[in-house]
Amino acid sequence: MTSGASPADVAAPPVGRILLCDDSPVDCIIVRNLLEKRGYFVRVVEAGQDALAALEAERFDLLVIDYEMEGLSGVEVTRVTRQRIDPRLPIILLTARTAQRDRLEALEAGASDFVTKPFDPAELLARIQNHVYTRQLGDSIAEANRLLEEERSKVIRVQQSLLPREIPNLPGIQFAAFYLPSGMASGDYYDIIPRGCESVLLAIGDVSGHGIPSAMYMSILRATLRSKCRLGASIVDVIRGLNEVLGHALDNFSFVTFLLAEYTFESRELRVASAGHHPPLIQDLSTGSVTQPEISTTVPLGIMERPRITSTSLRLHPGCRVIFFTDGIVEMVDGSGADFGTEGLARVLADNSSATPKEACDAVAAAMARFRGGARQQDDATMLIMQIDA
Amino acid sequence: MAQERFQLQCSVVEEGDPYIVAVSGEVVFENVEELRAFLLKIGESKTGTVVLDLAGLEFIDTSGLGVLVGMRSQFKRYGKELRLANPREKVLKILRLTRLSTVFGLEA
Repeated sequence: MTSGASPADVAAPPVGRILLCDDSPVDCIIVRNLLEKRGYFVRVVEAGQDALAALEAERFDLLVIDYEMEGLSGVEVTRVTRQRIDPRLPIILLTARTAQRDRLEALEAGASDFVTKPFDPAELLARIQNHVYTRQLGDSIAEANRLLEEERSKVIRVQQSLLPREIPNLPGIQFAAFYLPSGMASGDYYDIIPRGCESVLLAIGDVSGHGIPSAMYMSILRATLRSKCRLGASIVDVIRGLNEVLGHALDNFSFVTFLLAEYTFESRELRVASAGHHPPLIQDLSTGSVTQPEISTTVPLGIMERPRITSTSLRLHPGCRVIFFTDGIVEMVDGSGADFGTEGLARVLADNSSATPKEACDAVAAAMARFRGGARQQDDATMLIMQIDA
Repeated sequence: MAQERFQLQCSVVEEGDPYIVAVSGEVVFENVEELRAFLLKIGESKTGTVVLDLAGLEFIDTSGLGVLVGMRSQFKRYGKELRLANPREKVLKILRLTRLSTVFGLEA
């Protein structure tokens, strides 16, 4: 089509793609010339049916369509486009009518704007430019969101791979866990690390806040823990080492509550050291009763340079469970502001003492969802169960 | 409902030394930046001891605790002290559990 554009302009990508649908050839030529001079790509169709086919086949930034046409009217095409093809496409109706009722009908069908015939070219062009700009802005926001979402799901995948993939198979001991990020990536962490055939280390931690920054700190926590767990190091040594590394790695406003326990198979001793983390619950499976032992604790990791760290020794009996958890479970609130609490968690565990550890995990997750009602999960929630078989 | 939650109010109660600020409502991930901005402003301008009166504070999550801990060390660098006072039972429980009660001088 003759457009008067210089060769350089022809090579440039169009500033926007416009579908023009009008059964008046004279109007088509005028509008087309006007737009092509401004660098728009214009496809012209003369019937409503053809406009729908073109919209199905190609992507456009804007539809300019005549109100009154043979066959499908501009309003009908607008309605079908909105409902079935593109809910966000800007649509300008060219109309000879000024009746309020017609405009209302068109607006209800989803028209974005009107230009009255005979139209002023400058006004038509200005309106088209505005709508194309909005459309393209919307598209670039949608694209940016898509990329962000893609990155986020990659972070979540990487993070999931940092959790124990295979739960170690130890005679007489069963493990089960759940890990529920609050929508985005999580600052929660748990791990099960066997130490030869003598003992197993159980770790649970919670980086303050949540989302991607917490997830990054969580991966530092994991790498550091794994490197500090060499044989012979006591759990107090390990926590001291973690505190040192995290003290340098974390920003001033972040910390990690962390609990490390070592269960020695032969003596059935569970030694626990905590850095500001909730003590575990202990359940006697013969009665179902749940208790929370007092354990010594120090401030969370990353706050003080040399905290005083001590450990507490507990003696476990065959036929018991130790339940480690993060605050996302017990501090979860319902619509009235009441919290689930350690009591709530203990109640669900007591009700499920004859279930398998995996079933008990599922029961706690289900009870949490019921307690929240329809509300969004506010914080990451993690639970790890170790069962010493009877 | 969602609007009702995440309310945070910070107001200056006394401008002397100690400089007393009442913090009420909830400090959580969603509004923690408000508290940080408020404390930063105080930290830059006021001298001496700043006391946060937590009598009206109903809940604080780990993001909120993170800001308190971070601001405390920032205040220290300016030669100031950040103290907490009058936490309700629920908040005190969280401070005790994390042992931050000792860091902020609420307990020995």
